[in-house]
Amino acid sequence: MKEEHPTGLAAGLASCHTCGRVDSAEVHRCRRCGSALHLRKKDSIQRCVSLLIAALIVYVPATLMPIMTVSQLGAKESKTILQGVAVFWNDGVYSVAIIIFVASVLIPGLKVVALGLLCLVAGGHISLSGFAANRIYFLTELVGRWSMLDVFVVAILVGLVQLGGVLVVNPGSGALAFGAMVILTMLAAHAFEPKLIWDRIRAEERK
Amino acid sequence: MRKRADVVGWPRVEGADERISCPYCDCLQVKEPIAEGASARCVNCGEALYQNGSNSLEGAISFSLAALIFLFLGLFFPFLSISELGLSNSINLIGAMGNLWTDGGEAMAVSIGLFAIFLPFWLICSLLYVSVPLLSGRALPGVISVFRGVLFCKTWIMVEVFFVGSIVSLIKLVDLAEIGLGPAFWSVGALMVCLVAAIRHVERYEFWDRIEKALTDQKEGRKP
Repeated sequence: MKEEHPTGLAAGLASCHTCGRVDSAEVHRCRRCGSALHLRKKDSIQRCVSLLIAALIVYVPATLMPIMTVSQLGAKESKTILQGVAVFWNDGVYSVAIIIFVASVLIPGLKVVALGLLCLVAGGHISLSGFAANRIYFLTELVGRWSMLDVFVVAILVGLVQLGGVLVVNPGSGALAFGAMVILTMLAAHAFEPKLIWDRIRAEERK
Repeated sequence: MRKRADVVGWPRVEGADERISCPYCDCLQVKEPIAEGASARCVNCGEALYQNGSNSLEGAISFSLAALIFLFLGLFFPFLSISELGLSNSINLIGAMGNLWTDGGEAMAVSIGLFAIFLPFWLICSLLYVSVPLLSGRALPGVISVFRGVLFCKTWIMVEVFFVGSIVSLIKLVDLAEIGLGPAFWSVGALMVCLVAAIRHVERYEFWDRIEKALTDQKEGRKP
């Protein structure tokens, strides 16, 4: 067994999430920056899982409902996100089709799966190396915001394209649901406490 | 450029608790001073803990100032001009948000306003409020809450996503109408670059240590 490093938990020391200062876990506010001080984020697995469930629920209208309606010379056309991807793909603009598909389908999907997996690991239901878990969590936090891409695309189109009756773009309810889903998954990532995974690993090693 | 022979790291309060715990694995270790340009990793899990970038205050200040200028250009200059069948229209971002609001995209107008305009603006102003006095080892009142705001904004800013989004929407528009890029489009691109550069210079351990040092010095009446 490799040598065990001292942990904040064992020493009863909590590190501030905002400024990184270490203090006794009995202090409730960081003495340097005034943030709430916890040994571990409170109820992090429960909060993370419930936010993920909420995100999954919102994901249904986000993919099934149209994100925008384009009216060109009286002809109206509503499209969902996947139909939008298909249009770019059929037009031969593969790069954009891939960017939108990755940002709005792949990343949110993988993110929910990854956070769910991390919650299962932290809860002791599956085992995973701590290093792999770190990388997964790091990537989840890093790429999360990119899912807002399609919401911004719709917003820019609606805001900028105003040509009387010739060409008008209107937002659809799918865009709203999609934005809500992205924010929910970002909050879920913030709620998760990666230290729980290492707590679990150390407890296993001691057995 | 100035090179230091001995490793002194950034200014910090003498005798302060120098322990930190890794945000990933909770491994307790000492926050050793490191040379400029170096970065420290956790001894247990190897994740990056902190880095000592060179000229972090100067970098944060100069890129924030540049970003502030580009933000204003991006807001008030025309972003895009669009024309079809003899009708043409040129619009800036503020007007675009107004259109969004009236066309039933209130939530989207708010999210652009927040993630791509207000939070970047707030980050730039707060970062300047914190960094400029720190150059001479001083801190202004309320510096703690202001810097907490900087760290909050950092996680929610989405200018880069917004910029890529505007490129994608341009590609969509090419089929529908004739479009021209306005100066604001390029300004938003430059804003994106400057913001990323400014944020790269913000190392939270370093800034908190400097703030703590400035506040202690002021309290004890020492000249910085």
